[in-house]
Amino acid sequence: MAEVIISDITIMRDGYCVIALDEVGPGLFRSVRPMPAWGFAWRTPFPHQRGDHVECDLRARKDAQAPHTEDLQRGELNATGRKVGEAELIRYLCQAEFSENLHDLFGANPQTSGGGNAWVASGEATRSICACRYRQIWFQLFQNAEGLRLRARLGLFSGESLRSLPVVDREWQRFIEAAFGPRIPVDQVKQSTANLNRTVYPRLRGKSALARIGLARESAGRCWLMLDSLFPQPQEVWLKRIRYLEGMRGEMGHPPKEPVENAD
Amino acid sequence: MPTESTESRDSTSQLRLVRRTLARELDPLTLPGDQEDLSRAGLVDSMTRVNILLALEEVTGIPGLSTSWPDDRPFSVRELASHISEAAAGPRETVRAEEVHANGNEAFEVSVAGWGVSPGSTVVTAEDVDRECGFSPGFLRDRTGIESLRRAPNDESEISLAARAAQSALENAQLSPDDIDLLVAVSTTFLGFPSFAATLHAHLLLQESAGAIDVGGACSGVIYGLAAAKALLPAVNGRAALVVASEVNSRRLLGIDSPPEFRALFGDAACAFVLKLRAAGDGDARPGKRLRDFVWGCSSTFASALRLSWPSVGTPAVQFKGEQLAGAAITQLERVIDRLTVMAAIDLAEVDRFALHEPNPRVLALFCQKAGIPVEKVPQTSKTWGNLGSATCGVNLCKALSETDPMRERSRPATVLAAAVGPGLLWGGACIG
Repeated sequence: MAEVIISDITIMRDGYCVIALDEVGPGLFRSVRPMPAWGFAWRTPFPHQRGDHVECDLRARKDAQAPHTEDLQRGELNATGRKVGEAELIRYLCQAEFSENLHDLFGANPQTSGGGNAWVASGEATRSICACRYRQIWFQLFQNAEGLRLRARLGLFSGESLRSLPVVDREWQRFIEAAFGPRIPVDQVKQSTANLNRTVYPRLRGKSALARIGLARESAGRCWLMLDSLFPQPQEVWLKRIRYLEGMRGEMGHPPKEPVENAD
Repeated sequence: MPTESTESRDSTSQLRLVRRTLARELDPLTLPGDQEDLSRAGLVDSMTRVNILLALEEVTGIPGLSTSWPDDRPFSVRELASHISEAAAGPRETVRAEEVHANGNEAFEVSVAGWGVSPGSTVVTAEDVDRECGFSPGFLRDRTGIESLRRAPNDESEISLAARAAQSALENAQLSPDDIDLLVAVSTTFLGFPSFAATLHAHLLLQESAGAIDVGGACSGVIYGLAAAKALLPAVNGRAALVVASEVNSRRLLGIDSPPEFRALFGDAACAFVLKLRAAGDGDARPGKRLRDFVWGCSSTFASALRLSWPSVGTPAVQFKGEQLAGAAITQLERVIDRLTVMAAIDLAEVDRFALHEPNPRVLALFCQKAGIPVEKVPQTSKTWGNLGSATCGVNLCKALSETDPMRERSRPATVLAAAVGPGLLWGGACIG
């Protein structure tokens, strides 16, 4: 058993897909994907957090195929009790798979669907997870049969952009559910999206602005891009402001005093 | 109140639109019948489903189409088409741009009154280019379909080509330079100062009171120029505008670090259009030449496919990913055409000509095949003149307007769709008719 650090916990149907960092040398990490004995997704409730050290079997799966070369043998995850903070985790992620442009994320040129989401041909991509720094991000709340979901438009420093990435980061999904509930009336989605962006946009920049982009499993020859992890991770204090702005919707008279943030 | 036949026509158009969108988003060979639930058939997963809805939202321009899909509705071609009909007929929070546009059209119309082209005078064969670029014999012709290029000799420039095209367009419109209130000039290769628009303004001896602006957009530049002129003419109380695009690629590409397989594609030429503003109801416009709808945008996912960077020291260098650019261009051109047909409420089969940007003849042929557009409706330029940058779509538009001019007498005016993509990936389209 080897000790790894959980870096990504992403929503996968009713469970979570997990990616971890394995230190292969001083200041050098690689991503691995521990999988449970029963399939791809860990069941809920999943007890671990990003930054937790866990023990797992690091043997690669014999049937692991590009681009999901990070897949490990199915097994267990055992917490060690150790943990790293967000700043340290971001530093490690920059020492793992990292790209400054879209092509080098997965070693293939992304294509776009009419709706704006991007995909790479499964036969061309060489890996399924990579980090990049982003210059700008803009969210869109999206509601479908599964409930309220988040999509993001991401601008890279290379001048390229990804127009509509589904955000599958567990913490961001929990954050929007905490902020807006499981569903929003259809006619309020636009205003709620604006409230979300007004709140988080100024806070998603600087040295900690890092995105981990992942590839979904192949479907009809395509692997869709997803936003697996978005740093900074959402903070409890941001909820206050969103709830304030949401509470303002349709209210008459003088607005209540705006909450003061002191946590960031 | 829509009649039964218009409803039936709309429904047929929407079915076709859904089928075309699905064919782009899925493997077209796996598409089942219109009634079949694609989710149940295992042809779409949840992510693909969302993407299809977003793609339909984009192409129809109906906001909220993707978020209002009922959970339990079968995900079939027919149900998707019905969903579009219902959403289009239902109440909307905001007025759509097309409606604003349509209302604006009640007061004024802008039509193309004349057009002209001017290629570089020198003909260079594909074999000459092979030798010049160090290709094996037959490489350019086999790889791209280009047979020859037109190039500007030393005594020609962006300005001289533009002036010749502009004179031709003015004659065609039976106007003089004194009639022009606005010049919109497009050139990627002109590097002089004063600007291309100012220099051309002087060269054409336009009136001092005529405005002159430069518009970028590279290969999409003509579409952007036409859109800008249409919007600006009423704003400046003008009656006529001149839109000119001119490129001397061959000379400019020699001075930079560019891959030979990129440099070899380009020729030199200019095109020009005279636009006339008239009050709606006036009978003096050329039938079938009204500038109707425009679409435009920028898909920066492909920003690095073609890029010219200027280092602080050294020679400017071109980054060119030919295959990626060609694939993205074909897909985007198809989307532009679909969007225009929806905006103009016209079926693809009813379009008389398509004036398109051509990266090269092979890419154009692939596009026509993929989009199901008959090649006889698509004027072609790059086979004998090369890729002319911003002038390619413009020259093809001139050809399309000439070819549809004799159709003016028939009951339905001719319709031309123009579409272009350029570095960025900037894209644009126009419906003229």
